[in-house]
Amino acid sequence: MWFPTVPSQRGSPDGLHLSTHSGNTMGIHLDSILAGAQRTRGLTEKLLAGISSSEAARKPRFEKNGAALVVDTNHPTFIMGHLSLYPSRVMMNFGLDGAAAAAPEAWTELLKAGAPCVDDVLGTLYPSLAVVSEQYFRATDLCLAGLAKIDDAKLSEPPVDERMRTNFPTLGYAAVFMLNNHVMLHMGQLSAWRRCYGLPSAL
Amino acid sequence: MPVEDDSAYPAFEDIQLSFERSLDEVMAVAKSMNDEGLARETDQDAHGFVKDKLDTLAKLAWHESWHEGQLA
Repeated sequence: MWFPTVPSQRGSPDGLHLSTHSGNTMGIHLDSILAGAQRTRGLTEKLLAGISSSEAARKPRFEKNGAALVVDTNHPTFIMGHLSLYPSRVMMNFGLDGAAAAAPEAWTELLKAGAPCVDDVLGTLYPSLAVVSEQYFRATDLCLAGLAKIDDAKLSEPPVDERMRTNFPTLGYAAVFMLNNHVMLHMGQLSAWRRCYGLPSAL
Repeated sequence: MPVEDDSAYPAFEDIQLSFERSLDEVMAVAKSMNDEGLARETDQDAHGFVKDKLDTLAKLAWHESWHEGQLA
């Protein structure tokens, strides 16, 4: 595999079994959030298997009424690049130094929420799937390792960033969504893309 | 595995209604519970998939996100 598989800071290395966070058992249970994030990380690895580097930034196309129809969906390169933007932001909102997990600045406009996902016919618009995926896994691992040292009480505090605070009243809320549900939403898109390209179930 | 056969499934509208009804019931139960109750083990064997009742709710949202992504 071309992406790093780093043993989890919590939970089992395969991300499929739960651990017990001996330091905290009250409140929102940071353990549950991070164990879910490890499971999500493991699922992401599975979903990337078999994707061709030459197709990773392409959109599916079908013939409809005699004409080619390009399906306007997010492709794997966009998805993984987009997801790679967030672990450092989560860290910073928790008061951690997220600099080491930050994606290259140039990626922000290209891959931010609301940015169009472009069918990269010539393969010149996006970094490769390998590069954005490596950034995603590296940043996620740094984020999860950092959060593993945080006390549950922190989860009740509001995010530092005003935009994040608008969507999530507490850091716990933000962590649950950003490390689990947001990634899973895009993994669902990736799953559908896989099937369009004739790849088998990743599960 | 899904099959391409309308007759194999209930009507889509019925499935949506059933989903919404069951989700409403889950949310009502969740709102009626306190932190202590949510921290208790699940009533049934979850085979390691969830840690406690709170985690059951988290995994419910996690699972829904996956399939919503397939639809998005």
